Amino acid sequence: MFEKGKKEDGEEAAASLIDEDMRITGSVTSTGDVILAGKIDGDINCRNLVIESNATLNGSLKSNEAVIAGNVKGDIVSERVQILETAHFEGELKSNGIEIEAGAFVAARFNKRKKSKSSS
Amino acid sequence: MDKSKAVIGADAKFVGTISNVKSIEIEGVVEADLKAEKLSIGASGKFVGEVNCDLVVIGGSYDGMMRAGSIWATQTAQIAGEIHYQSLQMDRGAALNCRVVHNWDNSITAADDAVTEAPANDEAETGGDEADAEKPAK
Repeated sequence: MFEKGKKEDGEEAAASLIDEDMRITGSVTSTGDVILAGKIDGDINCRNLVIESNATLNGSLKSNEAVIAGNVKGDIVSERVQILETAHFEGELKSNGIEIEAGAFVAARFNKRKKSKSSS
Repeated sequence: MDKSKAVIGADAKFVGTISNVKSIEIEGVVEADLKAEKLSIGASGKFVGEVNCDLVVIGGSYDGMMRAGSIWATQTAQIAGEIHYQSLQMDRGAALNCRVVHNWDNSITAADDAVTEAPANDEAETGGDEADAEKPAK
C-alpha cells in the first residue's frame, strides 16, 4: 500500500551525487541513496537523501530517511527526517520521526505519517 | 566523495534537463538534455537525449543527438541516433548504429582563417581536418 513501507535491502546501491554547480529540472527516482549538493527543480524519490547546506530543492521529496541541511521548498514524505541548523524548509512534512536542530528555519505543516502496518 | 563530479547511480532514474555540470558520470538511466564538459556513460548506464559535450566516454547505451569534441566508444558501447564529433575512437566490440558525422565546421573555419588571414601560419594548417580526424581521443 505504501511503497516505502517495505524496506529495500539492496546493499549494492551506489549513491547518486548531484554536485554543487549542477542544475536539474525534472525528477530523480532511485532505489538507492542520493546526495544533493546542487539545485533541483522537481521531485526526488529515493531511499536515503542528504541535502547539503548550499543545496536547493524546489519540489516534493519522498524518501525513507532524509537529512536536510540546505533549502527545501515543497513537501516531504519520509519515514525519518532530520533537519539541521543550516536548513531552510518551507512546506509540508509527513514523517514518523522528526528531528529539528536549534537554529533551523522551518515554516511547515507537520503530519504524522501513517504506518502501513498499524493502519492508523 | 569528490564533489566536483556528479554521479547518477546504477539504480537511479533521472528525467529532465541537466545543466551547469562540469563532469558527470552516469551508471543509471537518464532521459535528459545535457550540456557538460565531460560525460561518462558507464557500462550499466543508459542515456537518451541531446548531448553537448567536449569529451564523451560511452561504455553503455546512448540514443539521441550528440555533439562532442572527442568521443570514445568503449567495447561495451551501444550508440543509436546521431553523433557529431571532431575526433572519434572506437574500441573493438563497440556497436554504432547511428549517423556519424564529422564536425567539419570548426576545421573549415580554421582552414579558411588560415588561408584568408594568415596564409603563412603553419600552426593553423596542422590544426586542420586531417590532423584532427587522426588525433586519438583522450
